[in-house]
Order: sequence, then C-alpha cells, then structure tokens
Amino acid sequence: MNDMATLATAYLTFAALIGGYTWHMISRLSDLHLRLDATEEAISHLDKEKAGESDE
Amino acid sequence: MTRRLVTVGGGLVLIGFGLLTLTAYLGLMWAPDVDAEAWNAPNSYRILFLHVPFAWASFMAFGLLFVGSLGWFLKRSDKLWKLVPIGGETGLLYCLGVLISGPLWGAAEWGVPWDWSDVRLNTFAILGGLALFIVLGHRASDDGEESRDTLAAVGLFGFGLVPITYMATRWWQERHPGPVIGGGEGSGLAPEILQVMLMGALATMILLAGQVCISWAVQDGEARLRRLQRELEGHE
Repeated sequence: MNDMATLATAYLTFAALIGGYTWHMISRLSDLHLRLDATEEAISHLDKEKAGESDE
Repeated sequence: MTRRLVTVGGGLVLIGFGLLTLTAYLGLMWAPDVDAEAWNAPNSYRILFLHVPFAWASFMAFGLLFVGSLGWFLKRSDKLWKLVPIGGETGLLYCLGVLISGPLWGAAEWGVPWDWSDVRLNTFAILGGLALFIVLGHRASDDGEESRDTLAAVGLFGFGLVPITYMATRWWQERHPGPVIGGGEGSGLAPEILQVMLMGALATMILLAGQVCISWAVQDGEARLRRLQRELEGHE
C-alpha cells in the first residue's frame, strides 16, 4: 500500500470505529427504552387484571 | 438521572467528535511535512495525530476498569462494578484504533506490519485481547458474583500491564518509536505537531467522558430492566 493510501485507510478506520461505536450505543439505548416500556406496560396490565379479579 | 446522563454524554460526544474532526483536518492540512529523506513513508506520519491520543484514551479506559475491579473486590460495590464493562468496552474501542492504525503505519514505514520482538507492540496487543475478553465475557455470562470476580480479576491484571506497556519504549526500545513527551534529550516533536496531537488528546478525552456517561446510563437501564423482568416473572 502506498503512503497516501495508508494514511487514508488509517483515518477511515478511526472514523468507522468512533461512528460505529456511537451508532451501537444509540441503538442499545433505543432498544433498552422499548424493552423497559414494554415490561412496565406488561406489569401494569397484570396489576390491573389482578385488581379486577379481587373486585369481582 | 439516566436522562440527564444521556443528555450530558451526548453533548460531550458531539463536542469530542467536533474537536476530533478539527484535529484530523489540522493534522492532514496544517501540520508541517517531515523530512522526506529521513522517512520511508513521510505522509503516513500524520496517523500519529489520532494514533497517540487513542492509545492514551485506552490507558484511561483501563484506569476505569481498574477502579471498577478494585471497587468490586474491596467493597462489592454494584455502582463501581459498572466501570468494569464500561472500561472494557471503551478500552477495546481505543485499543482497536491503535492496533489497526499502528500496523498500517508499520507496513508503510518499516516494511512489516508487526515486530514480535517489540515489547510495546506485544503488551498492547495483550491489553486489546483482555479488553475483548471482558466485553465478550460480560455479554455471554449471567451477571452473578462468580462472573464478576473473574472479569474483575482480568481487569486488575490488564491494568498491571498498562505501566509496562507505557514504559516499554523507554526500557526496551526495539522498533516502536520512542516517547514523544518526556522522552529525554533528542526526543520530542515540532511545536505545531505537538499542538495538533494535544488537541487530539483533548478531543479523545472529551469523547471518552461522553461515552462513559452514555454507557453508565445503559448499564443503569439494563439493571432496571432485570429488576422489572424479575417482578414480571413474580406476577405470572
């Protein structure tokens, strides 16, 4: 590989690593929010069901 | 708390990314050329503007790993434990940057990408391997006391390698260039080159701080999800 190609490859590597990790963190956070919301909703649904049963 | 951490972390990541882009621009366009007669690949020296800051950031990440591992062993602190996966992940990120860009430069300048007799190269590669082990080990195992003990022990060993890696070019310089700061007479860099490199170091430190904040928020969120899932299993 020539001198300039080496330099370009190295800088692209740095950009890919930083960009890739940032993207990974964003997708992990958004996935986590979805899973937290779904779990909280399931718990509140079960709570309501139980409350309904005890009223009856 | 988590939302604020994400906001602060996001802001720091943006500032760090902006500064890193400016460093890359200055490193490529503004920093002076080196003596083309003295180097085989005179343009590739510009890799140093990000290679060295990435190496320093990886040492900082291993510092976090050390604090987390020690906090787990001495106090069984769940809070400090979070620094183990955070330090492992960010350590791996910056180690990869160094371990890819270094051999690229070596291939252009020395004619070979790696020298197995150079202590700096080999201890740094071991550090990268340890960071990879911590990241994969954390994802693959249940978050129990035994797995935390194992990963924290690896973290302590990894941090023990940091001073050896840092001092390797002073003690046994084979092929890797000598230290650029505090290396004694005959070492050092031209002022413009040093300024750009220090700007790169500041950028990676800010970026690392932002990544740590976001990663901490992710760890918090995952712990909360585990609690909620246990609660849900109790309901069913």
